Amino acid sequence: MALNDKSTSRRGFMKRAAGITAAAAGFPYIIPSSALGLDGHIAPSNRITMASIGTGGQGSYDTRALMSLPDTQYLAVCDVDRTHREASKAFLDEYYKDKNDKFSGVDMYNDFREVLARDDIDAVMIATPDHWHATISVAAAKAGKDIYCEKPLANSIPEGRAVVNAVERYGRVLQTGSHERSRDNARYAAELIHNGRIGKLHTILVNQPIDNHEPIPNQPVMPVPEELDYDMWLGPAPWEPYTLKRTHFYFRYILDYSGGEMTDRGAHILDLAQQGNDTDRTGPLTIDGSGWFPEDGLFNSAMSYKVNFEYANGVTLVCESIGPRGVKFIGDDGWIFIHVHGGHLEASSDALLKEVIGPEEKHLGRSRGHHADFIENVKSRGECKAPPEVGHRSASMCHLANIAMKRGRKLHWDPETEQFTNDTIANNMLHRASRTPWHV
Amino acid sequence: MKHITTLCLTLLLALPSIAQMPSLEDAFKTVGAYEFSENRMALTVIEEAVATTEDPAALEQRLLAVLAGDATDDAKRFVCRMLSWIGSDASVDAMTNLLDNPEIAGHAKLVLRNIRMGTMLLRGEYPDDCDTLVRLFHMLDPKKEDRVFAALDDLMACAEAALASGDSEFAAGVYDECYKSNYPEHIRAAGLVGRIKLDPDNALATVEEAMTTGGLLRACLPYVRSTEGKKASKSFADALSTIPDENKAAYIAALADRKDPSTAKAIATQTESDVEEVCIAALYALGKVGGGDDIPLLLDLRVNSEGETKRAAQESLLRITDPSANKVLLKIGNSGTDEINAAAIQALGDRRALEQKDDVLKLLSAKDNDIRKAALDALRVIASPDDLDTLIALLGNDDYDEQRRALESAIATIAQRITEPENQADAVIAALQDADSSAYAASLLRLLSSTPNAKGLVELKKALDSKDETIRLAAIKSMSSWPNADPIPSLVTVVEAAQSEAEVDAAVGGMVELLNAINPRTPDLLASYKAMAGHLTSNGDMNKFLSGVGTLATTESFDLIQPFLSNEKTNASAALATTRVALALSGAMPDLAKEKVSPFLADTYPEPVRQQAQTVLDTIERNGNYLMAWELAGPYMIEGKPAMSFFDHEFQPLTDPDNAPWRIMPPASRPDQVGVLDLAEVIGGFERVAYLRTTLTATEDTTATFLLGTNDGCKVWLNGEVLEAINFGRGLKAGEDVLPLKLNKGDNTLMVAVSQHGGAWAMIAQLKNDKGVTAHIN
Repeated sequence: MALNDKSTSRRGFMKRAAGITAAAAGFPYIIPSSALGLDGHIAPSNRITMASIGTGGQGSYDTRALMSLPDTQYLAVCDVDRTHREASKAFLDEYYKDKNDKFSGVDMYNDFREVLARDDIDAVMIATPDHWHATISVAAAKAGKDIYCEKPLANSIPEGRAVVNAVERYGRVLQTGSHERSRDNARYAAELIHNGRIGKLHTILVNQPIDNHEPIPNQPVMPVPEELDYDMWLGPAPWEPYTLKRTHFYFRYILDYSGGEMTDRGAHILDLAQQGNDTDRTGPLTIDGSGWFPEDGLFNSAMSYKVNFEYANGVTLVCESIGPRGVKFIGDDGWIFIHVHGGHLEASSDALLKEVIGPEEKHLGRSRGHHADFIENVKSRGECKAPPEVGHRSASMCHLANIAMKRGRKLHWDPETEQFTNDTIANNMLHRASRTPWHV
Repeated sequence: MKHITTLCLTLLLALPSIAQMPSLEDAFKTVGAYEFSENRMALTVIEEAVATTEDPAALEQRLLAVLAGDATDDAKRFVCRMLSWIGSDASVDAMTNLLDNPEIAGHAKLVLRNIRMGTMLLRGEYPDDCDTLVRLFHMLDPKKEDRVFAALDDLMACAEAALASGDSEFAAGVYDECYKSNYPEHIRAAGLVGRIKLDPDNALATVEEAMTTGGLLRACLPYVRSTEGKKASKSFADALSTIPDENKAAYIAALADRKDPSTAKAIATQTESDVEEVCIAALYALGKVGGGDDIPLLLDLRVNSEGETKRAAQESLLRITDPSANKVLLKIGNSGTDEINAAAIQALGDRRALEQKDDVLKLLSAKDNDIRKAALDALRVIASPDDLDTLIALLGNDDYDEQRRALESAIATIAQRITEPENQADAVIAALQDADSSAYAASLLRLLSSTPNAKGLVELKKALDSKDETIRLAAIKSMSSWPNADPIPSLVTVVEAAQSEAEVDAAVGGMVELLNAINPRTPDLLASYKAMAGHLTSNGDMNKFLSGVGTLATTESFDLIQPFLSNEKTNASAALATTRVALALSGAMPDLAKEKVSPFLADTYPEPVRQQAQTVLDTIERNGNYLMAWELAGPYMIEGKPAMSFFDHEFQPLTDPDNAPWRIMPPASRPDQVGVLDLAEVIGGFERVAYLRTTLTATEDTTATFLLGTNDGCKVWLNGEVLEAINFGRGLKAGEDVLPLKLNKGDNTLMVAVSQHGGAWAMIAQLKNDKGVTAHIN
């Protein structure tokens, strides 16, 4: 058969596929899923079994939040830093010590692939540095796991789209870790806007001050600490020699691993802006901004910026590195400001914040907490408050801002095709290099 | 350079080895030798040139020349990154040669992908040849599950592409393969997703089969939500009774998400389930599909149950969209006086049942207090300003004494909905003219502070002359809650008249509150604080007083605070206030600030005081390299005009500088804002300008360099002569403007107008080459 004879080959596929069914009947393909009570089996504990991948600062927070829910059971933790995974195991084992006599403790892993290979784990929480988010999320979806992935959902727009596609393909549940939208106040503010309480929305001001805005000098090459698997930490990111401030926490100010403040807290605040604008499954039409990227030193993400976005609905969004941190929605009849973090609301009048949203009006649905919402939807196979498309679009806002600042000109964006329509070079900037063998 | 311009001063300080940015020519000469941890300014120059280029071909050739030379791996990675943005076919050979170097191959592949050469050169890693994949799939050892699943994943990508191009036959083959019962659930789920995409018109049958004989109940739940049509609703509702208990709650949630009332009956039966989780899921579901018939059950559970059951009933009660729901609630509300009846009335408010307003108003005449209270709660939401007269009249009715506060609260909320603030108090003022009892008048006076405007304040002032102390006290307390300082002169009069101790205490307390709330915190407020200082009696008022004085950046504040330092009860607050004043003055008068805070570093003071004192010293140290001695005047604006439009307008600091209200400019409060003068923090607001002025005293005729950054625009004058004018929005960047200063022997006046075009508003300044020059405020 000629390799280029596609039609013949494709029909042939089905013929042989019929044959392989019989041959495959004896394959050990079926992963027991009794922990979920699937297919009529009653779950031994009716809990969602979990593992955390990435257990540093944010990972510890997420792990504790998920651990504390009554319907989860942790089985494993994974981190390329031994001290992180050991600390995580220690607090999980301590937590479960008095709750489950038969539990012998969580298992520890250095390589996330070993976690994904376990049949008895239903869901994973991913809180690695950003450059790993998409690779692990896609792999997790392919392995049949449900996913709680920290924000930003991915480190580039094509990677984010790959996550959305993988989750959809395998019918998985994914919650992006943009937990600010699960706050009652943030939801209420968005409902007020959507239901016309501030009149026609025309302007959104996003305040994203940079707390750690000082650049740092070039850093010396350092020996890799014994407890860190540095090659695995780098993963898909370009190889660079180890230095302390490249890794934990500080990675967010280096563009190979993250997008600076813009993708860090920006992924929260722009997410709320997208929600309030009712555009959280699409994106802007134009992006125009400027920023200051340090000319030298280790950190190379924007340390101050001002970016304008224009949407098809006529709304203009201005994102600036100023305080107080939060987002202000301005309409013809009033305004609302959501403080991030904390969710405290301010408005053009006290009466506005006493408004009741009637049953016939648009409701966004209350969240019992971002982590609880995830587990609830793992069980009901519903859509989380920050599903993949929403998480991807919010992260896209951050990436678009960074590209527009780099490119230094007004860019026109097609949210459908996720391509710039007026700039080839900007389209090339959408992609990131991946070290072999990692790719999404 | 466009957006990466001159070097940030902060960086300059942090990185003393950096001299200046190289030219593009020099950058290309040195970039090949770049190694990590070295100066990367050559890379920055090239990166900006590439990122903003209009002539990519020329830069591509120069980058390729670097690769052709003896470049380090670090340099090659950088060059590849640049080529990934602007590379063309001309880069293919060079990139292909790099594919064997594992530490650079990822970058080379990205270049090739971006120039559309990836599929040809990277075959195998990015599969796009579906025919080959089919062949490979059949050759796989079925026992090697990982490879089988990976191949299926690639085949699903092929199937999606085939489906998009209309080749449904191939896609069907792939999805049928995935759907086989011997594959794991998620592979089968993927097969189901594909099958439904393939034949959306037959989705219901596909889902029904998958739920029953297919054994994929949970994978079907998204389709229980989304499969359209009444037929689907009936089928899924009929199936509910057959769903095992362990999956029933999830199934009910999915069924309810269809929002089809025809499923309500099946769901309602599950509220009687013995399984609590199922029962609660059904209660929540009724909020999405239920109707008036479900209201009694939900009300009963809202009142008589606890925990999650109560929350579910409450939420559903507010969410049912059936038009009959509100009528049912009203009927229940009218039928008795127990807790359920009151809850029904209250729910009308929670549901924003505007059409039931008249009926709820009638319930205000009910004899039962709980029913009246519930009606008021509901009316707070559903009544309109047209109903204010009715409600206000009830304040004068003794029968409503028990509901007085609830009534006042409802009236205030409704009045605040009047669009024009100047009319919000009209109904209350009208009633005030006929108020025939102290309690009624006091209620009305209290209400005036909830809709504060000039007309209301006039009424409050009149009330201060009343012979009835109850009325006078109500007026004083209402003034104390005013949102601005307008009542202060009236309260001063009360203090001076001193009709009763209670009134003086209330007036002084109110004045402190009002004065403390005034922004910006200009030194002219000090006179008002001085006026009340002798009347303070309670510790609470004294502490509030000190808290307010501590925010006034003037040396006179120290004098006003001083007596409170010797009072044991106010000593700590006074010390804290002193350190706060010192902090505000620390830029302009660092020596005085140090002197004032030094006593409070002693262990005898509480931790917050010592910390604040240390903060003053740290701030002075931190800002030592910056020009911090400035006086401030402003804000100035032209109503309704953007700041850019009045950039050249001459406000008082230009036309009459001697009489302009100059005050001392404090440093930014955040420790990370080194050297920053944050006008947004001190003044705030939008579309305006502020003036900053300092005096530079030179021992002889000399020159100096003024390094300036502003957000947004600025205009700079030295001795009245304009040195710089930038009328556009920009971020704060230290040293963005480098201005030579020609100074005369003696005093020279340097003034900067900083405009605000929205967002941040700040300045950062430094004086260099300043031998023999001192900066100070006048």
